[in-house]
Amino acid sequence: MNELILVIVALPLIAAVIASLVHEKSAKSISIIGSAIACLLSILGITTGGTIDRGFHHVFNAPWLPKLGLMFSFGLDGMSSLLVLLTTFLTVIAIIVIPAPKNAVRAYYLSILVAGALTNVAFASLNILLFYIAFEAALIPVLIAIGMFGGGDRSKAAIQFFVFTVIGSLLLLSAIIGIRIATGTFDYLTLKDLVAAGAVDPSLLRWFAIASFIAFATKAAVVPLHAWLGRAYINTPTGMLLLLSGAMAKLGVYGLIRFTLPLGGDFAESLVPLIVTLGAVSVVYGAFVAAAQTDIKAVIAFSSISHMGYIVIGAVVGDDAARSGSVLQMLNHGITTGALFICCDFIARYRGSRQVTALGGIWSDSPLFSRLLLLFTFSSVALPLTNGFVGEFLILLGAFHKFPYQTAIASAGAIGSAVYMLWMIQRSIYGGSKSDASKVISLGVSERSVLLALALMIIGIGVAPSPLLAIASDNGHKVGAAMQPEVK
Amino acid sequence: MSTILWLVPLIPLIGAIINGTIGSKLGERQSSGIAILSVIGAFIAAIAVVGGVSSSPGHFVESNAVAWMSVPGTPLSIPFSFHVDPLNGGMLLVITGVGALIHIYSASYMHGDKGYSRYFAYLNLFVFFMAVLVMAGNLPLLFVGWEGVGLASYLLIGFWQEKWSATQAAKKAFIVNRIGDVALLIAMFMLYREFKTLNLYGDSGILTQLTASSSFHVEMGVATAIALLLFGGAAGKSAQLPLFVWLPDAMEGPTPVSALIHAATMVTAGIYLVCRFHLLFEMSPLAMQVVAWTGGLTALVAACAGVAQWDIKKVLAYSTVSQLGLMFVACGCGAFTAAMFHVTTHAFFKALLFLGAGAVIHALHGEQDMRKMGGLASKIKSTHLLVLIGTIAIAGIPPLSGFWSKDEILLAAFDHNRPVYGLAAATSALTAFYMWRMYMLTFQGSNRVDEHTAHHLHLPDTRIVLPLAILGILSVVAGFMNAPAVGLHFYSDWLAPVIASPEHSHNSGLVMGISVVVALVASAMSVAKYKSFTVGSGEKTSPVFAFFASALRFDDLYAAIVVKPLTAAAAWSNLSVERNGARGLLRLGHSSVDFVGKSVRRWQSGIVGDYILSMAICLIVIVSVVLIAGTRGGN
Repeated sequence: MNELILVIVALPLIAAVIASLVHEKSAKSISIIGSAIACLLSILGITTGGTIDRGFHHVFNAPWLPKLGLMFSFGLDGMSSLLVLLTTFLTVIAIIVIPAPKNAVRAYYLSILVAGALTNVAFASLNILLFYIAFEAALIPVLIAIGMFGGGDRSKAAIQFFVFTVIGSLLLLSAIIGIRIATGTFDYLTLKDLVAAGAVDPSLLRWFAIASFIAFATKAAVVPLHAWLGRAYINTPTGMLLLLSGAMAKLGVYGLIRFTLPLGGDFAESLVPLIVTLGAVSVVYGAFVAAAQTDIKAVIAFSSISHMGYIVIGAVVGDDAARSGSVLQMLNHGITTGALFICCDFIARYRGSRQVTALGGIWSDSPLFSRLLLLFTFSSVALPLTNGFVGEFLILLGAFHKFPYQTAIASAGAIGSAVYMLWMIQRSIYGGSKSDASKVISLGVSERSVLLALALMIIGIGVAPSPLLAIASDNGHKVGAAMQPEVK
Repeated sequence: MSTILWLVPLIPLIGAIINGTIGSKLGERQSSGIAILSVIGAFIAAIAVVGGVSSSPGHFVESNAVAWMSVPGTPLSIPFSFHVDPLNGGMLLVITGVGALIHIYSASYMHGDKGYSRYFAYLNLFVFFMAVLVMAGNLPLLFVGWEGVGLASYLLIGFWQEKWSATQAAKKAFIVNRIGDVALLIAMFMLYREFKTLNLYGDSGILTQLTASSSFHVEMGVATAIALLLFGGAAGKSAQLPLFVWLPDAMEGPTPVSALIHAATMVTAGIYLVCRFHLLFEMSPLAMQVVAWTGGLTALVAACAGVAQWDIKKVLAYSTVSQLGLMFVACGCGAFTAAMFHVTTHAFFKALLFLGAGAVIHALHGEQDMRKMGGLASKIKSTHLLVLIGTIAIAGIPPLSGFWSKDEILLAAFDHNRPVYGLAAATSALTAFYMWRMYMLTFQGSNRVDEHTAHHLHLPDTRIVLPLAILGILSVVAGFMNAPAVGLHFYSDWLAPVIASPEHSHNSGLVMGISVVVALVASAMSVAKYKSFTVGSGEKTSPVFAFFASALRFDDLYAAIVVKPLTAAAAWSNLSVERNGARGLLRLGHSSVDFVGKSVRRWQSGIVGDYILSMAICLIVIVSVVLIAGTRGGN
């Protein structure tokens, strides 16, 4: 059982290798099979099993470069198992609903499968060097996808994205090395115990807190470190974008919860007011920028800044309800934003444009598609009984008693999301029909099933979130270092 | 009893799901049949629930709690649970009862519309959310209903979505309501901080804690802040200053929708919220003043606007805003019973008037401009008679229902807040005036209907007349539920377990006398003025009339001070910060990449190469640093 995570990571990679060897026509089905099995297996990852060590289950250890302290060490808790599930799920649906570019089918699937697998390595890693390598390496397939299949502005997008990320990453690397020098280990659980016991030089912890915060905040697109996001999201091909926005950006928040706060010592705690403030600024600022877009994909892209702002607040605020809400909201954001990006892709494909000025009247042509898009929109607007409400509500409720002003400002972001999302809906799906029959959005069976499944998840999580919240609340902050290792 | 409570919201929800999924395959009869039966079912369940309330010793019934949001390891556990007592029990009857009538009416009114089943799905959905709102046992569940009715309202205002003005109005309604919703949300957070729970009822519930104020203490400043935030939410939903601007535009929706959502039920949710928290409001004199003054000013502003409308639905829309203002006047003067009583009678006569107006519009093939009506009394007799009843009721002429409920409000204002009484009395005069104006322009005087329409009037069928007739009867008699002047106080007795009955006032005779005189004089003036109306006679050229017609130009004001600056800010953040600012920030980064790129020529294959290169460099750095550190450390 301990090898579970290895299997989850390896299956898509094996599928990717096979897919790149076989004929283009079967590449898609092989990719789907590999990633779908991985997705089913990651459901198993939610349940406790295998070796249990200090709050993590399915713990696996094997040497890679032991001299360097680099180990294949993996383990899952509630938070990471949900994020692994999210990543594998997004990989499957990205491959199912978004057609590959005609000229490079195999390279396209390869990039998606590799990106998903590496993201999962990062989520499941209990060795911070391994985490770092996966965290970085996962960007390579994204950059390749942007460079090969991206939108018109792809080279600029890729360079901006690269520069921003690399600055944060180098800082993170230096901090990790610093920790290694001070403690002689890259092992997360050991480090956590050492920090908790006060056995690490506080000045190094301070550096770790600052450097890792910058790296993770960049990844999570916290204002003002978000500047890469707009151009990168708009120019990333949709399939990869599901992973980039849905899963990889979560690595930033995950990093804050998993590493910055527990390993950053008291200094990390003292950064919390700053992070919460930046989170609130992100919520409002993202809404403003989203409201100024005319490209529907750009609206959704910039709305992510706003949504990630909430998630970041919940992650760091130090309240159990807010943190659980934040972890759940990572899942919700992946589902909802993924659904919205898929809809943008459909619209662009059938209507030939993503500019609102060229859209309108989709409701009368494609009623089912429009109804689903409307549901996704209201999930994004965090209407109660959708998934979005549960997450945002818990985050804000939990954050309010510590940071009332920032929370109030972030709450006002709910007005902003209504403004830009309803504007987008009004311009794109309402109004008289503008298209001829060839431009009607027709959903195939698999596309319809995926969108309906996403819709059901949105309502399902909105109505009965408690089982997921129970898993999300297991995020390493309650089962602390005090727990003794036990072997099952 | 617990099961029956669940039936009230769930039956309409099932109706909505059926019409929403397979509705397009159903005929009109099946679609409307399902929708009507589901609301009648909810009405019957509501009667049973209210029966349970009156027979229960504690004057309330509660459902079991079903898990919704709970976080293990924290005290936070928010269930789906319902609680009905006299306060919301009465509302529940109005919602499902008037709701059922309006569903029946709609079956005929919407005949032939291509979105027939979608309409009924939305309408059922509304009843579901409205029931959840009033029955909710905790605040987040109340918020489900609160935003849910906002959603239903959005969908129904924008029901004719090909029409730009309709979708525009729908969006405006949702956004303006959202402003109030955020206030409510923050109020909820503050309540949670103070009371450590979000449950309203039960041993540790917020309202219970407020009742036992001896054991619990909230600071005055905090109470005021929470009360004002709650009122902010109420002002959005119930269209009060400064957030009333969405309601007149909401008339873009089908007329039965205006009757149900934007007159009889949803817009009274704000009054319900304030009455529900009346103990908290009573703790803060400042909050009470704010509520009273906001209500009074809104009532007057909207009444002024009502006088200057030509669109029959706009008259009723501003009238609704104005009447809601009066209800808040009652709240602000501590007369919560009077507020809820007016909620009830207003639901009857305003639904009657809207549906009557709808019948007129229907008869005239969609004409809403009163300048193109006139002399219809003899053409659509039943509609005329019923609208006349509604007009008398709202004008405050005894003994119809509006007189009794409005009188209670005026009396409370007279006793507790004399300046606001002035506003309310002026509003009453204007109300009588513009309602008779509407009646006269529509039904009396010369017939200004164009020839073709006049010869092909769509006469209302039974499904339209029957609901009107029932509402007409209710508008006549409902006032006697609470007419202390003639010794009837059934309604205040009914509410007594939740809201203490008002004490007897010595000014009752005086205030009633003034009210009757004001109503009669204003009515007479209006009738005299509009008896022989011809198009183009004076009014529309006057700048004051234009100013009133635009509701004191609040829309223009908001466009200038809110929409424009925010749009500019959005454009600025997009252009200056996102496009150019990022570029500036990146110049540094660019040059460093260029440097790396230039120094290692063979990696010029592009950015991916750069990336892999820097990864390699990083790895080399790690390896060397770690090895060096490792050797030095001796492991």
